[in-house]
Amino acid sequence: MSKNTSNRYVEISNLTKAYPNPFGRDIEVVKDFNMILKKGEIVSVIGHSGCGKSTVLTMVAGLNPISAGELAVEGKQISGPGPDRSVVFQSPCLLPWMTTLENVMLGVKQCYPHGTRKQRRQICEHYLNLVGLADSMHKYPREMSGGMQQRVGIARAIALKPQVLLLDEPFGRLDSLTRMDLQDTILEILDREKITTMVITHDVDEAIYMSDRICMMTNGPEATVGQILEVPFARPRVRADVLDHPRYYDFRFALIAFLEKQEHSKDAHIQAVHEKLQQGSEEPVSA
Amino acid sequence: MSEQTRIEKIKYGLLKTIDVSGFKVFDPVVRLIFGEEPQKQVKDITRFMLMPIVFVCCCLVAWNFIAPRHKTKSGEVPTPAQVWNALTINDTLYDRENEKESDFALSDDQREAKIEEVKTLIETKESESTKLKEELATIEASAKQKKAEALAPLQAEYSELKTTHKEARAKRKIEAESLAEAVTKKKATTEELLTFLRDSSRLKEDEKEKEQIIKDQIAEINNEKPKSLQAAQMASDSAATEVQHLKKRLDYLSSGNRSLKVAKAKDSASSALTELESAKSPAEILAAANTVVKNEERASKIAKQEYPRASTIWFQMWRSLFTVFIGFVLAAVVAIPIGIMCGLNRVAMACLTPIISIFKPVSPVVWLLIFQIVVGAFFPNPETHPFFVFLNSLPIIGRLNANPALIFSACTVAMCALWPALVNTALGVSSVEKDHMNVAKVLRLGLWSRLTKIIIPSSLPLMFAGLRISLGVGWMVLIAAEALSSSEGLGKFVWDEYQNGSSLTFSNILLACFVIGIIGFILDRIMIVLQRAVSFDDGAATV
Amino acid sequence: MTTMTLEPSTLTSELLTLINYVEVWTLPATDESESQSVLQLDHAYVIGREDVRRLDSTGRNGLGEGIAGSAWKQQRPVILQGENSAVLQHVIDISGLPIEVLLAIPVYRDYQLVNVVVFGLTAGCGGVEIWSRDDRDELAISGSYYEGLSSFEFISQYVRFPKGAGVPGACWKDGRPRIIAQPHAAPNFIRSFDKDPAQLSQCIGLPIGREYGFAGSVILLLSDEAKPLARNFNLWQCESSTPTEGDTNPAVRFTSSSLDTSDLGSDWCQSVCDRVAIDRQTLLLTSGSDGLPVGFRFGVVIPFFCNESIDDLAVLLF
Ligand SMILES: Nc1ncnc2c1ncn2[C@@H]1O[C@H](COP(=O)(O)OP(=O)(O)OP(=O)(O)O)[C@@H](O)[C@H]1O
Ligand SMILES: [Mg+2]
Repeated sequence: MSKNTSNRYVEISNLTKAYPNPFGRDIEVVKDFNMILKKGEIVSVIGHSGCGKSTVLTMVAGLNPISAGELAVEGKQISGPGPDRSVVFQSPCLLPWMTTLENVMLGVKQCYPHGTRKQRRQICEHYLNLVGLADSMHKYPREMSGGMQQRVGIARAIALKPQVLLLDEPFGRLDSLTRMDLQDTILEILDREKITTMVITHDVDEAIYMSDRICMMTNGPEATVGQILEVPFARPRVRADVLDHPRYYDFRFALIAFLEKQEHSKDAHIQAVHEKLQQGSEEPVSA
Repeated sequence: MSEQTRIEKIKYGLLKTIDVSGFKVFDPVVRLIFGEEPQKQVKDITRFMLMPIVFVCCCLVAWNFIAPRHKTKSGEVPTPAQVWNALTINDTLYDRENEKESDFALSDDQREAKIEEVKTLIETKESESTKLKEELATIEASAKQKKAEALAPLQAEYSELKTTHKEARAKRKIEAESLAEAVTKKKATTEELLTFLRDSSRLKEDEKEKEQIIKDQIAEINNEKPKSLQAAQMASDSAATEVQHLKKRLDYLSSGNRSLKVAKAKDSASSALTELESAKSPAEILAAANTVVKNEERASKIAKQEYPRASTIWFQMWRSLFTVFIGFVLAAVVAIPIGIMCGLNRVAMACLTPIISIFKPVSPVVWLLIFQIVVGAFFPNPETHPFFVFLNSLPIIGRLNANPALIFSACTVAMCALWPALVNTALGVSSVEKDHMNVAKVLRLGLWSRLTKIIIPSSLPLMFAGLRISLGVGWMVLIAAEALSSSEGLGKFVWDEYQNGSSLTFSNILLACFVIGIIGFILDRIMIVLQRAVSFDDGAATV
Repeated sequence: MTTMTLEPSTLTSELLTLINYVEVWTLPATDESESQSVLQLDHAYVIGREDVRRLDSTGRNGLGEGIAGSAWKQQRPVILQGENSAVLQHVIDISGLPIEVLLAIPVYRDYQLVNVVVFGLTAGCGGVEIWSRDDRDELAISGSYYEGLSSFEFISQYVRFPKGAGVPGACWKDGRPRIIAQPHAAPNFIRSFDKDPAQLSQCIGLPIGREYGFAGSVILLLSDEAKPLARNFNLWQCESSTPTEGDTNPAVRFTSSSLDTSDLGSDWCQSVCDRVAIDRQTLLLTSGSDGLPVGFRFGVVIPFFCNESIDDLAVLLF
């Protein structure tokens, strides 16, 4: 692999998503979103609720058609979803009629079409072991807690041997203890497998602890990258060390200050975009 | 300790089975047996088991009270006891058919033994029957006497009344005539004559009424049948039919027996064969040879012959079940693929929506007629049509006598049961969670795995809910279809009873009503169990 | 017809300014034959509290030599801090002056270097940041100087701005300089300096073009109320810069239509515009010859070109 593709492993340029607006110009929820991920990097995306984080992620996953801009992984344009970019959704999204093992197997079968039954099973078991679910292979999703289900989701995603892992608020619904536990689990796996990862989060501490870079999004509509923060802590990370770092609170403050600033300037921003939309829809009327 | 856990295991196993089979009512009973919170369980049992039982009993009592008080053209509304009686009668009919059937098929020693057995039975039954007849005669005589005694004073009164009335009428007639004369002589006005006539006609009415009252009383006494007489008559009747049945059995064991018939045919074949050997002229030879072949054929045909059963309620029930099963399977086979297609493809949905909306509300009667014409065209000669020949050669199904009527009843059932299954399947498929579809997209599952791994499992609960409705609809439609198409089945049973007008008619119809209801209930339960079995979350509804 | 409007946020102060030393280097237009050219120091002024002193020494910097030469070579602004010996070994001995930091700003016209303006800044609350494009096409700090902004300084080294984000990203995107007054309240000044005791009151973003390509870097100048960058810092924006067809005179008329010109006198503004349009390079205004507005002793006008035409003017008055 050339240095160029590994430095610009995932390239998102001028990504725009416009949803149709029945009463005027299309609403550009996300506009001119630019981001470049190096290979093996973990980038978190943080922003206010509804700003368009999931929209960006689903577009990268290929589940949501893009309105404008370009998306490339390893220098190749993305067309549609695929197992090279596996997603862990906001909710666990397990198939409730399948056991843990079958849920993971579904993807493994697809990614190792030439493996024998036994090999595939070993792969599934390996990844379920990694997320600490060796005992729950034959349980159905309804028999498991939210945290366990989310673990299965993660195991399923990672078992695909993806080049890019996309996590949409993977711990959003979990209590803080489970959340920390899972963060460590994921980090451990990512440190080992060196998967390029994009993780959406609402949690400032999670963003700092987990990622190499934090991409802060401005408020929608026309949301885009407001600022990027590099997190210089070395990997693998130890939570206590990160938290005790003398400058930890400077990072935390920078993120919170950004989010607060977005909150404060929200009304003005919405007003501005609204006016623009209004003009767009009124022009033909006055003409 | 381990003993206790084992008991626990059994308990929870039982509870689960009860739950899955949809009989949650029995839950407290099981818990009570295992001694869990007896007070609560007893309370639950009284509330949710005893109370319904008491209520049903109340209904039965009310029925028993009201029924005999409503007189109809075809007799009184039967009481529960009468319906029960009808059940036993129908049951014995069924048993007798079974006996005759087995007799028909018996051969050799077994047959001989059976003949002896039946003969002794006939003797005892016959004596019983004559005894009962005698008893009936005496009871009848006494009843007649009693009736005569009761009637005598009434009849006397009646004739007396009649004569007095006759006299009064004659008197009035003379008076009227004299009055008319007076009018001509201007001694009385026409007005007076008219009033007199009006009065006399009123009087006549009154007299008639009085006569009628007594007449009614007489008629009532005449029609009255004392309970003892009724019972005796019934007993003697049933004994007589029993004797008749036994005689019929004897017939099937002797001359009507299959093995004997076969032997006879074979005999005549062999005798014809000897004839053939001794025959001289070509015409004789040909005739003899023909007889041999004919008799041989007959022998083999008879050997395959089955006893021609008369249809009983249980036979009709099995046939109805078979028909509804065929119709239901047809409906499912058509509805599920189309439903899946509609759910997947919005264009397909749009194409089918008008068809669904137009055909859904059409009455089953119309469908029946249409199918009768359309399907009938496929089977111009049903006896020899390979399809029916095949169906009737199958081991158990063959006994149900499949014919075109069955097929178009089944088609009607299918046509009416199609829609709920189709609509629900389409709904289930189109409402597969978006997240699950996203999983499929990310994994790049092919259409087939997408269908089998995600779409179908996820829409199964709704699909089965639809099938459950379909089966219910189908069962209801079937009864009407059978009544109308006279395809053997419970519907025809009801219809025949209605047409026959025997003393048992009303009871039999009510009996059929219960049989249909109970079977419908059982079918529904089965579907619930299936639905629960395929639903992945525990949220499936039980009604 | 080209018009130039005055930014409403004009910074005026009687106090000592943050910039107290100005040099202007020029790269003489070269013939094709003359391969080696050098930067020439034209002017050097020290701005004191009371007067402006012209330093008479002249100097030359080759490519990569001295601060001006390295700005030329690196094709981006260069910053040198006080303790750095290079400051003292400048072509002009400025060791006696109260200069903490030197900032060299290259000025490009049609992707060709014309001037390097070197500012000397005294100690005072504020900062200078040079944002340059990195390998991910994001702006990262490549040189900086801060005073009294330790938290801000720390976090800024980890901050990146993609095109369009924040003040540097905005300057990069549209290629125009901008003044942000009261940055802590401004929506597009994203970083927060609330943790630091000082309150910044002005932020000026200057996009720096480079040879054969578009803006490679952005300079952010930050200062507080007590010590502004200059007594008056103006950005004049050209509304339409395309010369009219057949207009042989390169001196396009700049007109200013802003309210605030009354402070400076619109005639004077127009004359400055005219002069820049003719010279097409950085302009120095001294009280002697150029008739500065009343109360000012010295001025620098830096043009921002888009290809051949002037888009914006940064006018610093002392
Ligand atoms: N199908 C759609 N049609 C129109 N607008 C949509 C659609 N989907 C999303 N949006 C809009 O796009 C915006 C961004 O939604 P998105 O789900 O990406 O937000 P988010 O940042 O993920 O929020 P959260 O943090 O709450 O998950 C929302 O304001 C939403 O209203
Ligand atoms: Mg979201």
